[in-house]
Amino acid sequence: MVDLKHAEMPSDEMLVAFLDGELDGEERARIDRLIKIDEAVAARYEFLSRSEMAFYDAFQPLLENAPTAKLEAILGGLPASITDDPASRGMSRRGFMAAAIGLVFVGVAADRGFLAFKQSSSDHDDDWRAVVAEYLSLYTPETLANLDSDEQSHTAQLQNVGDALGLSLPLQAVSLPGIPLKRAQVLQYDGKPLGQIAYLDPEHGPMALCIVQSSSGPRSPQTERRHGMNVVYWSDQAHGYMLIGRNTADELNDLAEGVRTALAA
Amino acid sequence: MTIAHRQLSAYSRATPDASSAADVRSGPVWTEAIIASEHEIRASLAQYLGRLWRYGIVLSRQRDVADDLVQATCVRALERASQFTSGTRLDRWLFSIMHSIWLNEVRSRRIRMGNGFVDADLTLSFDGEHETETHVTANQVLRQVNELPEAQRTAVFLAYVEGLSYREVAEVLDVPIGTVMSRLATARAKLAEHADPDVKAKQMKGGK
Repeated sequence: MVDLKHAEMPSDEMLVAFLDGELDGEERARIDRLIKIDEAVAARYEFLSRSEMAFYDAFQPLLENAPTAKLEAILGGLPASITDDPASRGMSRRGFMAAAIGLVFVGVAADRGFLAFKQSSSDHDDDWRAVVAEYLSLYTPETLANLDSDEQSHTAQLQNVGDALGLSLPLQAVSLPGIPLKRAQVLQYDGKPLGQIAYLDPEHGPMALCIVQSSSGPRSPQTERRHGMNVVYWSDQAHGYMLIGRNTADELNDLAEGVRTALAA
Repeated sequence: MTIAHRQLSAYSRATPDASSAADVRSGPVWTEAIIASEHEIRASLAQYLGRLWRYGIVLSRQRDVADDLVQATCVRALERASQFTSGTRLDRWLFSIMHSIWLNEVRSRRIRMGNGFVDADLTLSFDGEHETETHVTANQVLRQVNELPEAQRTAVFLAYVEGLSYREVAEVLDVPIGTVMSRLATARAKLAEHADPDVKAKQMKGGK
């Protein structure tokens, strides 16, 4: 009797296919019955069921952190092949494909110039702003509304952020007029610390001042738009900064100027 | 076992074909049809960039390589726009293109060049200090999947994250459906060994 039952032990493949809803009616009914009547099958089924995990959720952050702006620029920079001169098309496109694949194993960012993606400005400095913008675009006023707003904890948080980035962040310097500071925290981008100081503008919603270490040298403020928000970014000797929010570009520029002056003092 | 008998629809349109670039387009009718589909594909590609990049990360475990894989996939998809069967799923087609580029042109080359693989830590979660419980669990799942061998990792990703059916996974990976089943079964047994028997996730499949 026992032998007979064990002869019916379905393979792991069948049990997993059953779990995944990949079996058709008759087969599914057979496995279902075996699980109910055979302890050994039930035990194996229970064991394999432990591997049911929140796979979908676990991979969501990877999607959220994809460098969307950069990838869109790459796509936008691809030549519209069909409008090329038909005689030269075959060669140039094959060459282009070879170059694109070549890059994958060379893996050197500098070589991207070869592909003439000038408009995609693929220097690394842009990447972090894209990620920050994408991240902040997930914030709603409720994300920040319930955070404590006492000066003492903010000062301590700013101390942490400053320590991680190697700069001094006095509360006064990063305070924005009429826009309460909600939280300062250390995040991470590509293995390096990223300071995020979040604010909640009563009118325009979440805002953030973000800081990374940067060796690209001082640059005066510039503006751009990402994910429907305005961004002002600049850098000094050792750090890159960006202020981002749904405020108008002019307003954001004024606020950024205040922070920049205060931090440089 | 019924599923194994299902015929895999030929995925020959995604297989490498050296002479595809400049041959067929002679008459004006052809050209017009190709313009239409290339424009369509270019327009649709934009919405899949993130998911392609994520698959690039799952394959290569490196951001730079993932960027380049997306780029190469876009180039090839536009090049082969005429081979895409409208009415079928574009995302599946793109996954299969990326997989074939990875397998045939990138991975093998990297190994030959002695680069091997950087076992990059996939800690792409942002928050170090304020990790919620969900994040911790998510990171554990990510880590366990990341530790699976490539063949199992890609099957798990496509089936359970992207929500592809066994048949679709087989098409993307260009292997028989039985191979997909055995990769998933081996992966599941491995994941089950490390799993806490008391914790069962509520939501597993997402894409369907």
